[in-house]
Amino acid sequence: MNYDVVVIGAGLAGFSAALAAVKEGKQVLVIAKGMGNLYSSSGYIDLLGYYPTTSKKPVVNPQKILDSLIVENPNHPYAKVGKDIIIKAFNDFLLVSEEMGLPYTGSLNANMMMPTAAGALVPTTLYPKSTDKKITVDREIVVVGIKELVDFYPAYVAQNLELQLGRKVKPLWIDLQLNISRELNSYDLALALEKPQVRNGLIDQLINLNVRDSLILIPAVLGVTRWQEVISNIEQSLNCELLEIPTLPPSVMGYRLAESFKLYLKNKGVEFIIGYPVAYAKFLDGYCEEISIYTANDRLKKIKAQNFCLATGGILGEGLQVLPREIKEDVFGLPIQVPREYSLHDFFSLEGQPLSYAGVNVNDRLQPFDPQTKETLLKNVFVAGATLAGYDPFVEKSGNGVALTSGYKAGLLAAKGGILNE
Amino acid sequence: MNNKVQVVVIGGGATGTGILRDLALRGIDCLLVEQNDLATGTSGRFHGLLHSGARYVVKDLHSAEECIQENKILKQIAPDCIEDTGGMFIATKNDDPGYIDKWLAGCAQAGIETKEISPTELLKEEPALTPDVVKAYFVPDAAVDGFTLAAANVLSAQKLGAMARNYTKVIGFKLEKNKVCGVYLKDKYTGKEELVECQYVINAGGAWAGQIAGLAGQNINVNPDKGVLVIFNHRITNRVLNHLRPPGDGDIFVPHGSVTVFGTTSKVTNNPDDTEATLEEVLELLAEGSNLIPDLKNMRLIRAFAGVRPLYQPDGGQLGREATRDFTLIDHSQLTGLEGLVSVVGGKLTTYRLMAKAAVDFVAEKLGVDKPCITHQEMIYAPVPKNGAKPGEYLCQCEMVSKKMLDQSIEGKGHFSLSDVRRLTRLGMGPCQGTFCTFRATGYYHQSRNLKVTEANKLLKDHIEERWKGSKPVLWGQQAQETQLTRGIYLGLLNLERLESDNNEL
Ligand SMILES: Cc1cc2nc3c(=O)[nH]c(=O)nc-3n(C[C@H](O)[C@H](O)[C@H](O)COP(=O)(O)OP(=O)(O)OC[C@H]3O[C@@H](n4cnc5c(N)ncnc54)[C@H](O)[C@@H]3O)c2cc1C
Ligand SMILES: Cc1cc2nc3c(=O)[nH]c(=O)nc-3n(C[C@H](O)[C@H](O)[C@H](O)COP(=O)(O)OP(=O)(O)OC[C@H]3O[C@@H](n4cnc5c(N)ncnc54)[C@H](O)[C@@H]3O)c2cc1C
Repeated sequence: MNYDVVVIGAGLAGFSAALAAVKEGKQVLVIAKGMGNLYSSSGYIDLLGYYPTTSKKPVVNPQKILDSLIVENPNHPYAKVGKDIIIKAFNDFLLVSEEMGLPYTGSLNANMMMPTAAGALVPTTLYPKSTDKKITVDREIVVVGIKELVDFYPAYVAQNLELQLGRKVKPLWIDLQLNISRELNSYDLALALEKPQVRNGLIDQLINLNVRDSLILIPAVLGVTRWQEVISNIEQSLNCELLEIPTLPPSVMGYRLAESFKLYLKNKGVEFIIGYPVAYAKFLDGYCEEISIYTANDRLKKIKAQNFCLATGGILGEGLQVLPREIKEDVFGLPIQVPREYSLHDFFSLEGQPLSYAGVNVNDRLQPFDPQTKETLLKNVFVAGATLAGYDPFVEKSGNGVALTSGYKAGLLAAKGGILNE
Repeated sequence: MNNKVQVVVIGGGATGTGILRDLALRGIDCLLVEQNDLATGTSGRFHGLLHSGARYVVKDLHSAEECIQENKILKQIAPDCIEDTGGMFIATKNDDPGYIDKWLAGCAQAGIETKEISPTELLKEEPALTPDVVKAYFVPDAAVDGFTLAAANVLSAQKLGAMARNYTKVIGFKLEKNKVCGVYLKDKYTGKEELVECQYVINAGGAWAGQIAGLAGQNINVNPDKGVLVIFNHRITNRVLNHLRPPGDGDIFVPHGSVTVFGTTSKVTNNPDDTEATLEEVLELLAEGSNLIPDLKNMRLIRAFAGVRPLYQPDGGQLGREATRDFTLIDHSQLTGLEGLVSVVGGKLTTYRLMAKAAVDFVAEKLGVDKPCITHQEMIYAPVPKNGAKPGEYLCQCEMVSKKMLDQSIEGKGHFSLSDVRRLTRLGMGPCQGTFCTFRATGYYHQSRNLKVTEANKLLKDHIEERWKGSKPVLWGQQAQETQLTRGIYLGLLNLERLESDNNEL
C-alpha cells in the first residue's frame, strides 16, 4: 500500500491532520490502534483557559493571550504552530463542522464559560451550536439529574454554580423508570432517549416539575446521532432552553464529534485502518520509508507513504510509554526528555504535572528533533497532539485546541512535503 | 461525655481494638482513643496475611505456634474479615534444598498442616508462577482485612457499652504520686483538649508506643522498622504465595478481593510516620518478586506504601529481620515504679487477640476482676457487610459498593472523610483507584447528608489527593495512563481545582 500521507492516530489531532491533507488533494490513510480520546473528552475545543496555568482568573480573550504565550514559552506547541495557522485551523474547523452536520461555534476572541458536571465554570473556545446558551441569562436556571445515571448529581452542580453566579439555581431529579438491570452510563441513556416513548416520559416529568421557560442544565445524554431531534423536541415542548453538560466518560458529546468527523473524512476519501498498533518503522537517511502493522492472523501489512503524521496521543493515547526512569515514543523510538521528578506533591497543583509536559520535541515544522544536538531526526514525520512536549493540557485547558491546530499544521506540512510558503 | 472510665486504651489498631473488646467482654468500663481513624497505623499498612505460622517455623517456633492457634480461632470468629484463600510455599531451583527439610520438620512440630503438590499440577492452577518451581506445599494461610477487623472489634465492644473515639490524640498523662490516673486528649477536628480520668491505661500504640510512653516519662525501646508494599490491579495468584526460603525481602504475595498486595522490605527507621515508599524501594521489590512471578514487571501497579513494624528490643537486641516477632507486655511499675500503665508492643496482626488477652489478663487482675477471656468464643462482624443491593444501587463497580453501604459506613458520625468510608467499604480500592466512585460518592453524600457544597468539594479533593499519594511511587505503565485519565476528568473536564472548598486541615 502506498499513500501520500499516512496519519498515525485517530484522535482529534489525527483527524485534523487528515482533514488538512485531504483538502490539499492528497491520498490519505489514518491508522490507529484504537479510537482516540475524543470518546472520553467533553467535545469542547478549549484553546487556552488559564495563562499562566497558575492564574486564578480564566483567559478572556485567548487570541490576544496567545501572543505573550508564544514569546514566553517557545517550547509550547502553540509557539511551534504559530498564530496564523491556529486561526486558520479554527476557522476551517468551524466551516467543516457545518458540513459534518455537527455545527460548532465560538470565537477566538472570547472564551465561553461552560458549566461542568461538578458545577464549576470552565473556559472553552469552540463548542457545539446546540450548547450556545449563556449561563448568565435572565431565565430561571434548573439543573436536572436523571436517577438512572450515577455520574451526575444536580444538587452538587447547582450549589457550586450558585456560589459562582451569585444567584439561585434549582436542582431537580427525574426518574425515567427504565426497567434496567445495571447502572447506566451516558451513552446507554443517550441511546434510550432517541426512542420517542422514553423521551416523552422525560418531557412529561419536566412539565410536571414546572420548568417551562427556564434554562435547563442536563447531563449530555440527549441522543447519540439523533441529538438534534431530541433536543429540539424537548425545547419546543417546554419552551425552554436546554444546555447539555458533558459527563464523565463515556462522553456523548465527544462521541458525536468523533463519529461525525470520521464519517466526514471517509466521505472525502480518507481511508481508515483501526485496531492495530504500528509494529515497526523502516528508515533511510533521516526519512521514514515505511511502517507496518500486524493485522488479523498475524499478517504483516506494509504501508509506504511520502510523509507521515504522528498523532498518537501521548501518555493517555499510548503514544508514549512511561517506564520507571525512561519514557519511550512507541512508533519511531524518538528521544524523550525525562523529567527529574514525574509528579508534584499535589494532584490538583496548578503548575501541572511534570510527566504531562514530557513529549516529543519538534522544530517549527513539527519535525522531531534531538533536544541535545538540535538535529532534525526525521524529515518526513510531523508530530501533533498530546504526543508533543511542552504543555499540560489539563491545567491549561488546551487539550483539544493543541490537537486541532497542531494536527492541522502537521497535515498541511505532510501534504506539502514539509514546506509551507507564506 | 463521661470523663471517668476504668481503663483507657491508646491506639485503634488490631491490638488496641482487640483489647477494647476483651475488656468489654469482661465487663470493664473502657474507652479507646485513636489519633486518626481506626486501622490507619500499621494495622492498615500491612500485608494482610493471616499467617499460618509456616513463615516462622525454622527461626521462631514459638511465634509459629501462636500463629497457627490464632489462625484457626480467627477463621472461626471473624469470617467477615477473612478471605480463606489458602496459601502455598514454593521453592525454585535456585533455593537451598536443605532448608525445605528443616521447614517441613518445623511445620510438623508447630502443628501446621502441609500438603505437597507437584509443580506441574500447581502450574495448572496458578499459571502466573515461575516454571522453575521444584517443590510446593499448601498451608492454611489466608488473607485478612485489617480495617474491617479493627472496626468489627470496636463494634462488638460498643454493643457491650465500651466507647471508642477516633481522631482523638493522647497528648499527655495525668500523674499523681507515681501513678497514672488519667490522660489528656485532643480532638483533631475541633482542637479541643480534655482530661479523662481512669484507673489504668493500656498503651497499644504499636510503632508509636515508645513516643506515647515517653509522654509519661517512660523510656521503652520500640524500634520502628519500615516495610514497603505494592499493590497490583488484579489477583496474580489465587492463594497466598510464599517463597520457601529463610524469610527475606519481596517474598510474599497476598490476594485481596480484586487486587494483590506484594512485599515487603525491612529497614530500621527512627520515625513511625515514615510511610512513604520510594521508587528505588519499589524497583528492588519488583526485581526480587520476579523470581517467583516472571511477568511481574509488566503487570500494572496501582499503589505503593509502607508500614512500620513495632519491633521491641528489651535491651539493645537484634534489629530488622533478626528481631523477634514475639510480643511483650511491659509493666511500667516493674520498669520504673510507675503504676497504672502497661504497654503491649511487638507481635503481629495475626496474634493480636493473644496480645489483647495478655494485656487484659494483667489489668483485670489489678482491678480485681476475675472474669476469664472469652474473645475466642464470640463472633465479630463487619459493621458494613457486603450486601446484595439491587442493580442500579452500586456506586463503585470495582468493589461493588452500594448506596446502602455508604449510608451504613457513616452512621452516627459527625465528621467523615471518604478515606474513612473507604476503610469500611473498599470504595476506591479497586483497579480504578477512585477515579469514578469518588465523584459519585461526593454527589451522593452531598445530597443525602445535606453537606455544604464547599465541604463536599473538600471531601472529593481530599480523597483524590489521598489516592494520588499512593500512586506516585508507581507512576509508570498503565498507572501513568490511568493517572492522566483521572487528571483529564477532574481537571480537564470538571475544572475542580478552581472550585472553592473548605480548608480545615486534619
Ligand atoms: C476525561 C477527559 C476530558 C477532557 N476534556 C477536554 C475538554 O473539555 N476540552 C479540551 O480541549 N480537551 C479535553 N481533554 C483533552 C483532550 O481530549 C486531549 O488532549 C486530546 O484529545 C488529545 O488528542 P490526540 O489526538 O493528541 O490524542 P488521542 O485522542 O489520545 O489519540 C491518539 C490516537 O493514537 C493512537 N495510537 C497511539 N499509539 C499508537 C501506535 N503505537 N500505533 C497506532 N496508533 C496509536 C490511539 O489509538 C489513538 O487513536 C480531555 C481529556 C480527558 C481524558
Ligand atoms: C510492612 C508490614 C507488613 C506486615 N504484614 C503482616 C502480615 O501480613 N500479617 C501479620 O500478622 N502482621 C503483619 N505485620 C505486622 C502487623 O501489621 C503489626 O504488628 C500490627 O498491625 C500492629 O498492630 P497494633 O495495633 O499494635 O499497632 P497499630 O496498628 O500501628 O496501632 C497503633 C495505633 O496507635 C495510634 N496512636 C499513636 N499515637 C497515638 C496517640 N498519641 N494517641 C492516640 N493514638 C495514637 C496510631 O495512630 C495507630 O493507629 C506487618 C507489618 C508491616 C510493617
